[in-house]
Amino acid sequence: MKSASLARVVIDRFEGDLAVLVLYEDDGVKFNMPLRLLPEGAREGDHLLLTFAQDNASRESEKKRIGNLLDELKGK
Amino acid sequence: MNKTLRSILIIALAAAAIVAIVRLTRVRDNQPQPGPVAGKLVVHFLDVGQGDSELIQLPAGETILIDSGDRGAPTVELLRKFGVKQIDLVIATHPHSDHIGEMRDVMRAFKVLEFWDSGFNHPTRTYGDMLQDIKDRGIKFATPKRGDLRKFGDVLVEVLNPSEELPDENPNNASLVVRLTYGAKRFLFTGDAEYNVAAKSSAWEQMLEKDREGLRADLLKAAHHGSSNGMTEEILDAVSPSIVTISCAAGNDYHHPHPRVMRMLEQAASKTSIYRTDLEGTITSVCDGNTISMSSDRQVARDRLYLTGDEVAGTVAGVGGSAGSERGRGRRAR
Repeated sequence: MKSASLARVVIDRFEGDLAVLVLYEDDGVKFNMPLRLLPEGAREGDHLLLTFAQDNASRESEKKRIGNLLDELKGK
Repeated sequence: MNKTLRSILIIALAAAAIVAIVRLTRVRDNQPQPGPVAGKLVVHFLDVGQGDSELIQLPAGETILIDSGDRGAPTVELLRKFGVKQIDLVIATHPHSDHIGEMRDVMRAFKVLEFWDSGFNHPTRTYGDMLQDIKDRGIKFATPKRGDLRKFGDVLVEVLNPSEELPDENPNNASLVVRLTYGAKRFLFTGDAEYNVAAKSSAWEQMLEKDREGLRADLLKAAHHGSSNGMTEEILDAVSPSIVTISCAAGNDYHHPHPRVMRMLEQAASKTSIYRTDLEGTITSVCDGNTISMSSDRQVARDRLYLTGDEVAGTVAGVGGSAGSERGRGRRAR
């Protein structure tokens, strides 16, 4: 099984402090991304490779934190 | 019941039914705005959500479409509603997806005779696919520049931007800005032209510098959805419009229209009235060469007319307005 997936997105435009990213393979899919999260020097019209990697350690630690909070709140 | 009485009753009922049908039809006729009207210049600022699209129906029956709205916008449906059969000229002001996203569907649905484009090489899939479609369909293609003009009967279409040299980076500044003149009235369509001192000579700076007087128009489509870089005091002063339209979606993520622009327009309210698609739906202007009459899908209360994009979105508290609670709950009409 893949541990990460890759998507190609295009910076369609900047709107203030947001970049409008459009999926290359389907330009009906678009989303906003704060400019500060983009690589330095990113320009309108740039093509970006977006990697989605599952971070299981992060998920598990969050799950543990929330579990503890729930227990506390329920008064265990 | 005797026979005569019965036939009188039947005739009376039939007459009532006919009156009712006529009434319904009249109401329906009055409802949406007209399609092409002989001798009139009709401009529909289409409610395409977050984006731009203007349908222009000329006095002699030709059709011009400026921009298509974003991918998935109801543009084709609206064009059909307004009786479009073919499009004589499509103008893509610049290659951002909120202006050209629906172009492929428009070309699929209607025969397009000619296409004007900014010619700005924006390396996106959306733009590339649009150009490929234009090529595959054999549509006549041009990238007009400032000074180019075309006559459609009594209507003059003039290009005010871009100049020969396109901007290097910002497609907004390559926006095809066109002015339509019919009789004594002028309409200015501005795409997303920016005034931006940081950019090497932005579109508005160039136009103001080259012919400030020539920017005068009766109706101004606010550039860039009412964004702060699309409108300045200097621009409003030079154009000096009696009508300003703003195309954007209620609840958009980009703060359109911008507070500074709305305050500016509010201060100019005595001489300039505004119309906005986010609150009023599709806006229609009908011009006979001497006067312009305006109508829209919906009426908007006066105290809501100058709300900023964020106030409409409900992401900040609004100013004045009985519908405060409604706003506070974050109306995200898409």
